[in-house]
Amino acid sequence: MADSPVVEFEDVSFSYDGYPVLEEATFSVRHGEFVSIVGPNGGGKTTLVKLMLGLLRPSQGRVRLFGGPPEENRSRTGYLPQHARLDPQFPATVMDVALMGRLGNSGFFGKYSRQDKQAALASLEQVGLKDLKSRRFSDLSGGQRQRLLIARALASDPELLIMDEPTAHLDRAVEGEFHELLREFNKRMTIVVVSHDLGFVSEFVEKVVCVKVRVMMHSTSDITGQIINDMYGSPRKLVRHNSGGETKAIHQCFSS
Amino acid sequence: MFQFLIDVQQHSFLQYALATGLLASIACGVIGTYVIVRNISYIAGGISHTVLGGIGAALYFKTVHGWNWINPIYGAVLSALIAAMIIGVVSLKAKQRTDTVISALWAVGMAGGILFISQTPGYSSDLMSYLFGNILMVNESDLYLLTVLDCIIVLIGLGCYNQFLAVCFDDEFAKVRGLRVDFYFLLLLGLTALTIVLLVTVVGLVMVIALLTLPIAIAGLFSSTLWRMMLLSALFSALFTTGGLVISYVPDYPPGATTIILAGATYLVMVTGTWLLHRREA
Repeated sequence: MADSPVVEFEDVSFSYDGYPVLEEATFSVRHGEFVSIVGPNGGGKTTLVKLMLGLLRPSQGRVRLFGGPPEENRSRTGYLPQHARLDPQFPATVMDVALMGRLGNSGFFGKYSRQDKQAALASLEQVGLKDLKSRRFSDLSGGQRQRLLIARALASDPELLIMDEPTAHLDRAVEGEFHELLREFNKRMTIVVVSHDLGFVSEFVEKVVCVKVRVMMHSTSDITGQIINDMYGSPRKLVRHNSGGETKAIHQCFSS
Repeated sequence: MFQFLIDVQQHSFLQYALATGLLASIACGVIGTYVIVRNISYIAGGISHTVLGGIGAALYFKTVHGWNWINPIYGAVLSALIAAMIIGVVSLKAKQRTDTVISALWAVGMAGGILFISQTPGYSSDLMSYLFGNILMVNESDLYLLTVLDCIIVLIGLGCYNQFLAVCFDDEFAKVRGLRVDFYFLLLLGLTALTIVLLVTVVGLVMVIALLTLPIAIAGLFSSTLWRMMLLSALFSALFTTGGLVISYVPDYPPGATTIILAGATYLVMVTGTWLLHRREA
């Protein structure tokens, strides 16, 4: 159990209307890892996440989540979708949204328990939104909304946190804090983060999954300018960071 | 107004009409709110027009084939539910062609209803009341039936509040949380279908969509949460159906049309008022 990968892709392909989005992806994410999925826009990153959660079915190959079918085990994950999809005028409060992270524990008439409410409040506190719990969703700023959706993902106390473009609406100052927060979460959960911005791949990311229809997996120390050129098609400057005397991660190569 | 107040104490048809309007308003507030926030008013429009097919068939079999137990409301409920399930399954399975299917059901349902009614002796004159509503024709047994429908709608609609809220806000996330999203979507469409049947008796099937959107749109101007929006839209809807009935009574206007005009005018005033208020603040 502890040994089986949290996420496992075996020769997975996915096509939409005959157009290949993902080809023969094979990679795995192990317990406790911090993995970043990077690649250009339209490269299939979100598709990869949806396959991981069983929201899409692969045309070929096999996806395992916690060693089993994603549909059965996905409630053990906390999911942060790309928030552009949501209706910003939706009549719901901050607390309403955070509580949605506690869904699925209940029967046909699902009422939230006191425990659910405490968990939702605790996760709001972690992202600094506890004082705004009665605020209307439509009155939040883009950054606050993103933090709320992160709280919603955390409310179920997940073993795996999957985030699709979490920094898309955060400004640079908050982004630093956010990275710290993720590092903290990583102590108790596995984290998979999708980003079109390789700037996200900072020191604490252990593995990078590069997606541009084809999938390659690297440990961050192995990433070279050649790999980036292959993936993005144009030469970009590669900045290496030295941490602990060892070249470990890359930063800001793709932020242009 | 005074004439209405005097007569409502004597004439049971006015009491039934009043009760029907109030019953429909509760369902309208609860389900209409979901319909608006989930953006499925076009689906609701489609369902409401297929209702004529069911009503027409029920009248035909009752009159021509002597099925005396059948009430036109049974036909309405059946056709609304069938339409809701067809549209629901199509929009879940084949995401692109939903509009086409809704439009087709919309027109075919009406055409079927008109054909049935044309072949039913003595009922052609009733066509108008199904299209444009005649709340004054509700009788006691109809009222019992409508009460049962209303109870089912409100019980499930409020009982599954958290689930519907989650499905309307972000169905993908709800799915990941282990909620049977497709089931709740179909359930919501089923409840929408029943609500439409209630509203058809009030304002007729052509104008249902107005009562399912205008009170909710007005309530939306003052609501930060879904349940508040439900409460306010039920109140506005009750105001419009009752107001429409009262205003139309003495000059003998059609009550359905009067109700809709009242709702539309209020909406216009409210939206303009809010806009002016925001402009002054800004």
